[in-house]
Amino acid sequence: MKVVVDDDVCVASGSCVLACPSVFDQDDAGMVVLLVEQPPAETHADVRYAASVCPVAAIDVTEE
Amino acid sequence: VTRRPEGSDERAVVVVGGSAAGLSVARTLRAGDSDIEVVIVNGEDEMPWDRPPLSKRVLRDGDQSHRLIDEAKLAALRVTFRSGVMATALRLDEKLIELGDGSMLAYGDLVIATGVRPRSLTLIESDARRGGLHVLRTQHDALLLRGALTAGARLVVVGAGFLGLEVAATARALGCEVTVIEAAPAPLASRLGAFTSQRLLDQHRERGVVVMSSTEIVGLRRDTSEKLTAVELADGSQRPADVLLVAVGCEPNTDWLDGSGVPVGNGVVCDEYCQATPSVWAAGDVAAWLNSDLGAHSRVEHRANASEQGHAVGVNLLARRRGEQGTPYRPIPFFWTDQYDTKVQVAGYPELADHEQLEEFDGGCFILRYLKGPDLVAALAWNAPKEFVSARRELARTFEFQRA
Repeated sequence: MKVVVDDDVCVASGSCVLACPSVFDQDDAGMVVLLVEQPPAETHADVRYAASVCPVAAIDVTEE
Repeated sequence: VTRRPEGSDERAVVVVGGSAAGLSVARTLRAGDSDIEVVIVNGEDEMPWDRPPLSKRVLRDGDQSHRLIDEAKLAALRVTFRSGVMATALRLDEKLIELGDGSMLAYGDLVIATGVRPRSLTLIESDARRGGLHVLRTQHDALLLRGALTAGARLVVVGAGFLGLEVAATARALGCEVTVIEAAPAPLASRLGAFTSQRLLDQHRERGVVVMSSTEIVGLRRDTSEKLTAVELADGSQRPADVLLVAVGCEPNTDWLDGSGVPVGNGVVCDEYCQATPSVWAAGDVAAWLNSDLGAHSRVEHRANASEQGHAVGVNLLARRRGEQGTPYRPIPFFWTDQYDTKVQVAGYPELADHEQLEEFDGGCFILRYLKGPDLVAALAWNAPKEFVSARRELARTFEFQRA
């Protein structure tokens, strides 16, 4: 799995941080910070959920 | 004459509506079942775009890049995406959907995600000339409005809700003169309380927006070439207007379900699993589901709910096919609004509160906690996104405790 975030459209909802804090964090302005580009298998369900609840679809997940 | 369904699978999940909620359903179904057949019926001609930017970036910059999905992602999702065709009727007993092109589509489960459309005003409806009159729901609407909002144009916004206030802010950035007309005594006070309402109002007034509360438009003035020139208000006064935006809320797109047997009230009436009948579900703006945290049906028109409820429907639908019950949909609602350089984020149910607690930070930022007795029921962050995430965690803990 490969994760890409678009910090240009991020609206700092923090939804991804709540869904999967081991992969997503926020900077001081609340903008998304991707901690791991290729997250481990045990986080995949949470990463997919984070992508699905991002209110601006700023998280792109490619399954490999 | 309708044709018999061709090549449609009686086990298929048909999602009517290809916007945020519908796509979330489809993604969840695919993630949970690699074999399930999914068809999306999308009334729009284009690939779906996201709506929150319409009153902001799209309106300000004409930025048309905010697609919800692209062709490659759609192919990877392996769904049949039928664009530019509307569902026109439902035959519940036969499990068939009638489409606008005269064909029919069979389904095993139907997910209704048809969203909402802007509410109109009798005054607007009765004006046959239409010039200068706008609503904002689609990208097309946003680009039309953008074309009208040239520097110096005089914009009147009817309705000081989130959409109306966001457009007012964007229109100021575009150099327009802006008046906002609101029927209630204070903008958004019934939703967010008097304190937040005043802060929002102050911000608009500081930037030169004229906000007129407790009033309404009773007439439109046009010149001899029928160009809009002013609006007439209930107190007999007038405001100059070249452009009028009606932003007085939305109503659910359920006309196609009339007489079908699917329960429709203020939206598609569902149980706590977002299920309307044994084979019909609903998600997003159109869904009025039994919200067990409120003990009443809720219909939520916020962007985050579209994704979250779409996910819940996908999960519950798959559970039901496995013979399991699924999980009641109990979100902690979340929404935000961006106006000028202020980001306001809200989570929970502010309308349940009986008092508020303010925590201020440097630079005019704050967190407002909404409490009912001792219990936190909502939180609002004013330019405080990191504190907002802590508040969302706090809310989640409170709600889990109350549910236990």
